[in-house]
Parts: sequence; structure tokens; C-alpha cells
Amino acid sequence: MIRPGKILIAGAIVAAVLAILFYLLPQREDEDIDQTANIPGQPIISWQKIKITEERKNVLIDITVPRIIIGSSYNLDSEINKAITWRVDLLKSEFISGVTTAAYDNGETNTLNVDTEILLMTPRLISLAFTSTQHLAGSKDKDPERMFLVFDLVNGELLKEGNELFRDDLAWSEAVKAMKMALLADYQGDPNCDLFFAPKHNGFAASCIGVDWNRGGKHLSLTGDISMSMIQEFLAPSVLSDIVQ
Amino acid sequence: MLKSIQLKLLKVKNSGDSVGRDIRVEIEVLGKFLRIDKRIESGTTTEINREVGRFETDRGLFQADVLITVIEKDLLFNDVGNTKNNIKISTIATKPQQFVFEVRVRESRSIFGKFWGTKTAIFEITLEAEASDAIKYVPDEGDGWLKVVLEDKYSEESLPAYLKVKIERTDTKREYFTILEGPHRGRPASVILQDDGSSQFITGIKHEPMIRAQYSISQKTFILKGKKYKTTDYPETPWEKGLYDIEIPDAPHKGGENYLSQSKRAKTWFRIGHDGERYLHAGGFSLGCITVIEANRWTEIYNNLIKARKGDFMSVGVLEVVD
Repeated sequence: MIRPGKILIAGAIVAAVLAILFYLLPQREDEDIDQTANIPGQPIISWQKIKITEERKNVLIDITVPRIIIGSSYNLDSEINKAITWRVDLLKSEFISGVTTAAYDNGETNTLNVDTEILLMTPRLISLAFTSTQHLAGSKDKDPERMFLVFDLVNGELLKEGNELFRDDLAWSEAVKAMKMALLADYQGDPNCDLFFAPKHNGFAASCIGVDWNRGGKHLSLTGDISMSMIQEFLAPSVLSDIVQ
Repeated sequence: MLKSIQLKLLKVKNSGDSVGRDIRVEIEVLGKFLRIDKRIESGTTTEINREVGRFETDRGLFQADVLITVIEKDLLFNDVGNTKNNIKISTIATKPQQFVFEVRVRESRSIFGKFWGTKTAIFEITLEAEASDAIKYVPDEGDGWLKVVLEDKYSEESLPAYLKVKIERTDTKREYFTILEGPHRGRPASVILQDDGSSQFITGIKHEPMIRAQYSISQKTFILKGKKYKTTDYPETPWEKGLYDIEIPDAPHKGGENYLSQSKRAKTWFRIGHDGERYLHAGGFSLGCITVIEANRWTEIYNNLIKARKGDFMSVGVLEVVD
């Protein structure tokens, strides 16, 4: 004879198994549907301060740069950090070659300061701004320059022209034109500059770097923020949600 | 070929009797004048290494009169001696040529018309002449740009490879020159000498005849010396058929940095026409430029354009835009 107590225990076990299955099955379904399954977790940022001095050339370089750690993917970490190093190395090389133009006997130090800012960090994108300020002994200081680096975490690649951020190539060109016009709106002169931009929270950060031939080829560096309203219509839906979230 | 001769006062030797040590040396050559004041003890030699002047000639032998005056400065009595000589400098010789002159300075003192003093110092003045091409060119190294200082603005600028410059003078650290081509044409500039004291510029370059290139709007191809390169343009600002000058590169373009791994010359863009912002360059997208999307072939295009000259001091050649 089967005791009612045993029936109850067996029933409770069956119910528990069913409850567990009920809970797990939808979770699996979600995993299958969600395309962000391969998207890594929230990256960890480790800030590094690098100081380089070279007495012979009277050089002092200060760099603040992040090291990105994404626990789930070592390769992705490596690619992003390689891109950051590449960008900083470009700034350093540019400065070092400029030091050859500096006055050698006026006692001034040739300085380069690179500050990095994380503009946006979502499961899809990491967007960074590098602001470099330099002083070369005996020369008039150039305006600080702001360059950007946007890394697509889903595809594991550095964005070159940033067209992937927009609906299509036409949208890209319309947005670039609008951003350049906005940056140059109040500029008097004959600017000839290349536009750089990166997404940030609720908009874009942009800069235009080049020369002004009305001013004898004077160095030109303009920076500014681009409002969401100006570019919203051109953005790819996924980027739009990343920026406004 | 136009040669530039740099004449330097290399060293001064003070020998013979001692008439004093506060020495002034004045040298005059073809209107160029150098005066130096040095403390030179008797029996010693002092390195000076200062430029007297730079002279240009297209002859194989350069001749000039040199007037050298040596003054021993005293509170009451200056002792003076001088010499005038002719120097002949070969402009073909590649090594520095030295010329040694002797100037005797006799102690000469007088009060109320009475002279005395018998000592005579002998100063050996060594001049050094070095002939080189007066016209030099920016080397094609690194990213293809050489950083220089524009002397009229004290600002840092970059000059593209093979740009023609004329050397004006050199000091112990820098070379001063005039830019002969491109958007900075006619402006004075300077650049640091290399660690071994030699010039950063190169000589013996012969610019090539102007380049003729084609751009097909319908095919989106850039055609150079029979080779086709895939490009992209921007439909909203279409190219109009016609002839356009291709300019000598104006300034390094940071917009090319993303393509440096495909071409080390990706920061060099060639402007099409003489105003606006339409360029021929390597890249991925266009806002009106002719953008060569085969960025790994950009160096090939660059090598053909960078040494070519149209003869207007501004352009490397002509682009024909066709249907």
C-alpha cells in the first residue's frame, strides 16, 4: 500500500522538476533570440599615467590612457588596447618629429600632454577621445587637437571612417557635412580641415583639423559637440539606442 | 648647376710675440662681413666655426678677394694688422677646402708723437669653404613630410617630399632656406641639422615632367600611366568634365592616418584645382574628393605624382575628368 505521505513527496519532486524546467526553458529561448549573446560584459577600465622624459632633447610627455579589460574575451581586450596604443603612438611620433623644429637654446621644455576621455561605453561600442596639447620651445603653441577612436565590440574591429554608425553611406555623408558645417559655422577664414567624430552620450563629439590658407597656412583645430537633433535622422537604429540609453 | 659656397672662419691661431689676448677679427668677402671678438691667449688656437657668408655661382671656380683685419684691443692703444688676398674655390670639389692667411699685428703705441713697441704677434686665420648644390630637396622619409619652422611666423609646418628649397645659410644647429614651391613658396624657413651636422635635405634630384592622369566619372576609376585604380566619389557634388591641376601636396592630412597600415604615404593628399577641399587621396569614403579605395595601391600613385612638376611652382600635373 502506498502511503499518502509518499505520494505527496513524489508529487512535490515532480512539481519541483517541472518548475525548474519551466524556468530554464524560456531562458534558453532568450539566449537563442538575443543577438547580443556574444557581447561581452561591462568592460573594466584601468587608467594608466605614463610620463616620458628625455633630457637631451628637453622633452616631457604626459599621457593618461585607459586599459580596457573585457573579462569574456582576451582577444577583444587585446585589439582595443592595441588600437589605443596605436593612436597614442601616432600622437607621440608626431610630437617627437616636431621637437626637431623647436628652439634648442631658450631653456623651455618641449611638452606633450595626452588626455583620454571615454565618451561612450555600451555592450556594442567603446568611444574614446584623445586630446593632445603640445608646446615646442620657441614656437607659438598650436590649438589642442582632439582625435577619436571608436571600437565596435560586436564585430571586434576599429571603425575607420565611422560610416557603420549611420544608416547608410548617404546618411554618413549627410551627417558628416552637417557636423562640419556646424563646427565651422562661426569660423572666419578659409578653413581646409579633415573632420573627425565619435559618438557620446546624447550626441557626437567632433573636431576639424587642418590649415587656414587665409592665414598663411596656419594650423587649425576646432572642436565641439554635435547635438542629437542634428544627426539623429542619419544614425543606424542600434547606434541610436546606444547613444540615447 | 647653381652651386652654393659656404665660407667659414674655422679657427684663429695666436702666435709670435704676445701683444694681448682680447682679439677682434674682421673678415670681408664680396660685401659679406663677419666680426668676432674672442679672448685668444698667445700660443693658442681657438676654434671659431662661424659663417662669413654664402655665395652662389654656376662656374667651376669661384674667386674672391678676402680682406682680413685683426685688432688686439687695448684700453688706450689698439694694435691692428691686416691682409688682403684672393681665394680660388673649386665648386666641383666635394670636400671642404681650407685657406690659411697670416696677419701680423705689431705693438704700436705713441704719446705726443713718440712711437715705441717692438713686439709682433702672428695670427693664423683659417677659412674653410665648402661647395654644395644651392638647390636642395626635401627627403622622402618617414611619413613623407619634413617638419620645419617658418621663420616669419615662428610656427611649425610640414613640407612634402621632393619640395625644392634654396639654402641661404647654416649655423651650428640649423639650416636656413627659402621654400621655392608649393603653398609656402617664397617664405623663409629653417630646419635642424642631423646629429652628425649634415643637412636633412637631399641633392641630385631631378623633377620629372608633369603627370597626366584621368578620372572617369561613370567608371569611378582613376587612371595613371595606363593603370586603373578603383575610387569612390560623392554623388551630391559630382565632378564636371574638364581639366584640373593636381597640386603639390599642401599639408599632412590626419584623415589619412587610418590607412597608414596600407600605405605609409596615406597622409599625403593631392588637391585637385587651386581652391576648395577636393583632393585625390587614399580612403574609404568621399565627400567630394576622388578617394582611391584601393588604399594598398596608394604608394604607387604617390610615387608617380610626388616628383612630377607642371612648371607653375604649384602643381605636379593635370587631371582630365571624363565621362
